[in-house]
Amino acid sequence: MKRRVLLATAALTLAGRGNAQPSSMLVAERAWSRPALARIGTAVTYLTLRNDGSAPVRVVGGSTDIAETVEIHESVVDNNVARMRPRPEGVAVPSGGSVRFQPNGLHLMLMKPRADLRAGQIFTITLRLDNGATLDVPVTVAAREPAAGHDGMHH
Amino acid sequence: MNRRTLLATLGVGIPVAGALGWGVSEWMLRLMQSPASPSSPMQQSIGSPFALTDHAGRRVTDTSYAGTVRLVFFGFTHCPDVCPTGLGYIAEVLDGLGDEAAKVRPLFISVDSSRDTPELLASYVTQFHPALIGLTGSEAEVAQAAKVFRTYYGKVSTGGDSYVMEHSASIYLLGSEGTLRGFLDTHEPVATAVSKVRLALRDTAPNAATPAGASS
Repeated sequence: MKRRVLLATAALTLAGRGNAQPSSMLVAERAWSRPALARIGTAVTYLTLRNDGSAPVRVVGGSTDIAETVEIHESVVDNNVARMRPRPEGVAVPSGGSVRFQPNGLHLMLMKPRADLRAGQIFTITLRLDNGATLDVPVTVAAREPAAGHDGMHH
Repeated sequence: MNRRTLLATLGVGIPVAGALGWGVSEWMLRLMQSPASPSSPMQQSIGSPFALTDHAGRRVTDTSYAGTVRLVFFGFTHCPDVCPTGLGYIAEVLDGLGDEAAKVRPLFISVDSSRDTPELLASYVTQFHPALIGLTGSEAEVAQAAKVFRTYYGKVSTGGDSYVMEHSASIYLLGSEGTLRGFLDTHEPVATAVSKVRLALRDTAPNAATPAGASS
């Protein structure tokens, strides 16, 4: 159900751009955000991106009404030390493949949230793709990773 | 669902099949030991002395938590990914411990003394679990705490006034007598962490006949 809605969103967005490659079809699944305090100035979003199209797609950035900017970051734990590195080059999703943004790894960092993010809240992040298209992703705020998880059994 | 089943299995399984539980935990602890290290983590006294301020504004020292099993995690509130992941994991472990969680002190030590006031820590840590204790202090106090836990942290500028801290991602598990029992790893199932903590609780119970691991 959810997947169908997302597919429709992605397809519409791509069609709307006219010249965007019609074959690239990116699907966002299980997007969630942790509760966050606006005064601290950062929030995080995780999701899985699946590319059902025949060409690779690169996510190069994003935006949302609820925060000033959205950046792609990656946490790297090296020798037990946690470091964070920005990924201005974005993240490529290979054709027929998927990329998982997950805790302690790739994540979307929301800078300067305009209000606290509270569990149960849903907001939208618009991902910007290198082919000029955009993808609207509904994100649910939850204290813990939604359990429906790994096998996608809610579909 | 799955997790709940696992927890239930462990909860029933460990007290009943004590021998099996012990075998597993021995194996786990051996995994945590560095083979080349002359002293195992179980024998290392760690995390003392330090003096910090808790998120309620009280002055505390390591002795404030003496006699309890402790989980210690270093981080900072402006950390969007690794710290919430670690704290979220600790929260799940505390929930998994049930009533026994009351015997555990989960400490979040900020390495960002300039931004993390006790008041900010209070609103931050309680987002994850009401039992979490946020600790902060002056730069020197935080440096001392990091030193006694033999942990590293550093400040990395991200342009302008903004910066992030790099820090240890380890969650220390300390026995009630203040020795290092090992680490929790957020990549492991919560049930594994729960059994590690239960082991530490049982080993260090005041009326335990033999200190566990003494023979190994």
